[in-house]
Amino acid sequence: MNWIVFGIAAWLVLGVQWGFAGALKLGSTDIVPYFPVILVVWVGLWAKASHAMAAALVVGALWDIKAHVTTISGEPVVVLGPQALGCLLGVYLVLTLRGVMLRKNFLTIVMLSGVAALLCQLVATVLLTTRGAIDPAVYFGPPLGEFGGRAASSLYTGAAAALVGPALEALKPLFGFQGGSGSGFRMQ
Amino acid sequence: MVSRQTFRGKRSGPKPRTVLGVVVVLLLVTSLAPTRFVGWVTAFQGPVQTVVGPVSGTLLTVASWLRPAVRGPRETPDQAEALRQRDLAIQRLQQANREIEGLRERLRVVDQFRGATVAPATPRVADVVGRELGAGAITIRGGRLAGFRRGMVVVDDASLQLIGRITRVNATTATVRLITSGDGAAGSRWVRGVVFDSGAEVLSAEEQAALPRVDLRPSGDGGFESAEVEEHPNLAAGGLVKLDDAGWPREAQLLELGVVEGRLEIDHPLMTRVRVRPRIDDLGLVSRVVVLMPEERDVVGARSAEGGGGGADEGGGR
Repeated sequence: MNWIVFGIAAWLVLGVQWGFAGALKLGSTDIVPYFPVILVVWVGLWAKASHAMAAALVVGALWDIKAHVTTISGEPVVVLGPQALGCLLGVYLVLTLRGVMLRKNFLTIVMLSGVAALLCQLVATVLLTTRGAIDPAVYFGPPLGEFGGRAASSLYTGAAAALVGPALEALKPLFGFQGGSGSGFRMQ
Repeated sequence: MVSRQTFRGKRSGPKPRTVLGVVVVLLLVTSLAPTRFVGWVTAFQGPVQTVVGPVSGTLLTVASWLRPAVRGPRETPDQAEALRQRDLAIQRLQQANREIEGLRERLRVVDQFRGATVAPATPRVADVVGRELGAGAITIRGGRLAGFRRGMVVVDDASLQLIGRITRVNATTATVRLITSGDGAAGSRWVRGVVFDSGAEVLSAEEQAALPRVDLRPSGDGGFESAEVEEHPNLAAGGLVKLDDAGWPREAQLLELGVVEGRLEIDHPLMTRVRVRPRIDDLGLVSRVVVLMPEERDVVGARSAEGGGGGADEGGGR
């Protein structure tokens, strides 16, 4: 995989998530699509397992750094890990399933983006809830309520992947994927 | 993660599986360890925001065209300017009234003297370059280098709506916690407001001092819910609620919190609770704000007020 192209793509995707996702939120809720997950899933479909996992960690870590949590004192604090580990688990799911999926069918990225985002947010919710219980300075809302909103956003992510997936597909030659055709997850 | 291979085809360095395991463990530690041990991670936020800012800022401009923040019925430019001038004049009068009442209080009780006379704050326009919807915060362009400090007050650029307060300052960006952030549970902050009939009435200092005060905290849906308060005619729908909270800087006083939307059912004949909503439908969707920059001694005063009087401002309620 061409890491420079991936870096530019990650930069753009984080910019979209940070600047544009607000315009797509549903009503007055905080339900927005997770564009970084779509990129991670798409890389997971085509790249080598090791590259896909590294990419998921990088995107997830940058997402964590960007999306701080609120503390009781009101000062934002970065919690590095929830989205990174969530993305890692999401891409693990993709790597496991890609051998039995029709990767060129756009429904594949739609379905996998939704499921991977759900898994990612489940991990993030569990970790942030645990952190909130351990660290009195960090405030995290009721887990079920938080996960409810994140689950809805995950479904929205799947829908957004119907548009973003084909756009990424058109850019595939630039990424220079090699050796990502193997089925199942295997890492030496 | 990516292992190198020697020209003989043998691997050198740690195995990818080992590297992955170490990274996962490190991320688990940074996820779960208390902030005092892993707070240093927050230092990476500034550089990341600086790098992503050009893309997100451009896209946010596009997003603001597609979905602007709604500010109620539209007036003609002349009407809007007249209303703005009226609001500004009344705002000055209300602030003057507050000053008068404060001065009287100081004369009566010298040991309750609070705050020194300071020059008015200098407004500075800042574009919003990021939105953290989950955290109830926005990121604005301009940080330490622009003179922004933690605790500075942020208002909407087209009205007197209070947006929030700067909670973190990086070199080129700053994070603003929205005043509506929180969900009403522990951790949500209380603010005290004064309820005017419509906000356009001209009152004397005594009349203004007699207006009802309500303690509000975010309800989680972009508005506020009050604590129990004695019945008063101004608490009807449409009443204008403005900040009147000693825990906030002087320049924030009597900025708008919102309008009374309705009452909440409670089982008490003489008391009531109200629901208040900002006139901007969603504070997180504003695309430009104004930062009120006090003089240095006022910032120091605000800091000491935060340190000394923060208890009433935090979750427990009043």
